[in-house]
Amino acid sequence: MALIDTDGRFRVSRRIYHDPEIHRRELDSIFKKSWFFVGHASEIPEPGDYVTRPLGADPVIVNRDRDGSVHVMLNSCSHRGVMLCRAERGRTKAHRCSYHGWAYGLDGACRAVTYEKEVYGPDLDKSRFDLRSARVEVLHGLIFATWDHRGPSLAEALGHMTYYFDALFGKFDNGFEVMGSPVRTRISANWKAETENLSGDGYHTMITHETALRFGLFPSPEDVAPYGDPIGSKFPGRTVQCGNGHTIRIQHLPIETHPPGFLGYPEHLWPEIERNLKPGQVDIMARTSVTHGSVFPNLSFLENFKTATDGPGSMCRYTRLTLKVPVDEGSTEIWWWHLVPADASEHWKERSQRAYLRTNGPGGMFELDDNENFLGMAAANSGPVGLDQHYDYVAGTHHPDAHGLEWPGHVQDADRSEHTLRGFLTEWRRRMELTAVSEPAGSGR
Amino acid sequence: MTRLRWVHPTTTGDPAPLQVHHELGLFYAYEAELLDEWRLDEWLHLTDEGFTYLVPVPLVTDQHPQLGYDPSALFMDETRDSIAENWVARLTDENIAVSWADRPPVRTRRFLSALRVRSTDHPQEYLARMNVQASMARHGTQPGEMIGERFDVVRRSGDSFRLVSRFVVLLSAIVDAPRPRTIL
Repeated sequence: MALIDTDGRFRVSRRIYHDPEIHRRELDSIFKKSWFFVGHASEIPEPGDYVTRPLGADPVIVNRDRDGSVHVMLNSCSHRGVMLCRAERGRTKAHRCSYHGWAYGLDGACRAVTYEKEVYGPDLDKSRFDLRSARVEVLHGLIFATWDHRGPSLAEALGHMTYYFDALFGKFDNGFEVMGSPVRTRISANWKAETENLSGDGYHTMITHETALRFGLFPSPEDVAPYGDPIGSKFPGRTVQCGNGHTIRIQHLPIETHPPGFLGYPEHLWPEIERNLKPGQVDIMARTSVTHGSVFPNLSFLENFKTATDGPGSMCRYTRLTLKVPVDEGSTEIWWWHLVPADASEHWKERSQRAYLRTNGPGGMFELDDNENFLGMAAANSGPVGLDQHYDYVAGTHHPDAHGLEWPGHVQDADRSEHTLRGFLTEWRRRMELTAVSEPAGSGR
Repeated sequence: MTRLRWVHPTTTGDPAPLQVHHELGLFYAYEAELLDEWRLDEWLHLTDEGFTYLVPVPLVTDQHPQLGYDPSALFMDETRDSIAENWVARLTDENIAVSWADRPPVRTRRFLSALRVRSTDHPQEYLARMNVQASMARHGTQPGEMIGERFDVVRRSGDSFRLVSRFVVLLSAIVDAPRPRTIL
């Protein structure tokens, strides 16, 4: 059996999550070549500001140059490879190595070699020692970088996802800003486990998060009825394969609002949302219950609406970005950012933060129960028999396509589905060039 | 970047009397027992009505000395009410079967050291500063841990104390404990 077999069904070998050899291939096939999120522009507002981040699976410096541009470069001295920036955040005029003192500009150019003439003679070409730089693009404040200087642009790589990104991150005149530094956590699970979940798994929500449901942390039809015209008890959900492995799930509250109601956001920002978005994008953002998805390979986004995390009537939204960075096949470092509209009040931002931290934050109740699933998947499938099993990703293959929406991509009219997981894994397979590669002899079933 | 919002209480008051140190040492030993046995409903009785629990995001900067955290970012932000509604309620007979991460419970042991108590402007309130380590074993696995420094404001209440606020600065920049959603 192939690792992913789509011939008639969507069958996935459990090895892709738990086999160290496959993980080593992932590092080459996926983590050296994709566009990766490395941070938000509001984290480095001034020239010389830097943060240190992973780019794929390598450490990089992300800094703002004197002309305002953002550079991303390998956090490793070209001379002997010592890590240049040891802090997670700071401000500097140059990056100087602690070993022999070589110094680099904010653009990564090698500026100074200690005792240059004595050690290297009169003809050293320092440009040979510029830091390995990544290609950088910034979209709505989100900084992306790739090691691949010849591949597709960010817009080409995002494809249809750009439309959804514009809705999510381009709806405010002055954009989003971070609520401080990201949190870093580590979990004993494969990086794809949570990535698939966040790609658009609306199937697990009422089971894994049943306590949250019981505690009123999901808005009920009755909670939101006063804010629009009720359309029943069902929360309409759609799932989208955007192509290139990018996906999104969009679920709405069971109400209609005229004009569009961006419930949870400060009302003074509602007119600019409508002005900045196309009608189809307004349709995504109005009456949103939750929307989340993934940018291939390892960035996930979530915008969630909550009514009661800070007491009754504390309606709010929060936007979260998570980056799943593989440590090895069974361990993942997760980075967590909370974004808020820059023009919201301080009071609103703090309410958004409380709602986020108590639910979908790194120490929140939702993550607590989600993690049980990801930890359990890793713990139960590392044995020789477990590795030979497979998963059938066939949930929702019979769901109808959605009609009457302006949304691009393959949109299905349901969200209790594995539609988005199939989208993610189809790209994973393409990138791993697995179609012609079978499992080692004797390991199939 | 957002403004500075959350910083630990200042620790400039006079040292409290030895008797207060002794009483608070016993108070914290009892508190650790309640937390380690997941008796959060009883633990709530040790808290003041307006209790807040804040843990800022740990951060390594190039400044010296290190603050050790980002005062514009939080990892945990809870109150007595939010803990009662969203933590304690998970452990009731009614809800425990679907509180997946609490069944089986993570086993914890808290280790406290270096308790220093200072007086404040309020005669009944003290600032208690100490190191805390919570070792945690999820299911049968090897224990992991969270280590931090507590900055508590406590208020005398009869012959005991009430926790007014707790601010914990984590030691590690990466939270890799088996149970990050924990009262340290």
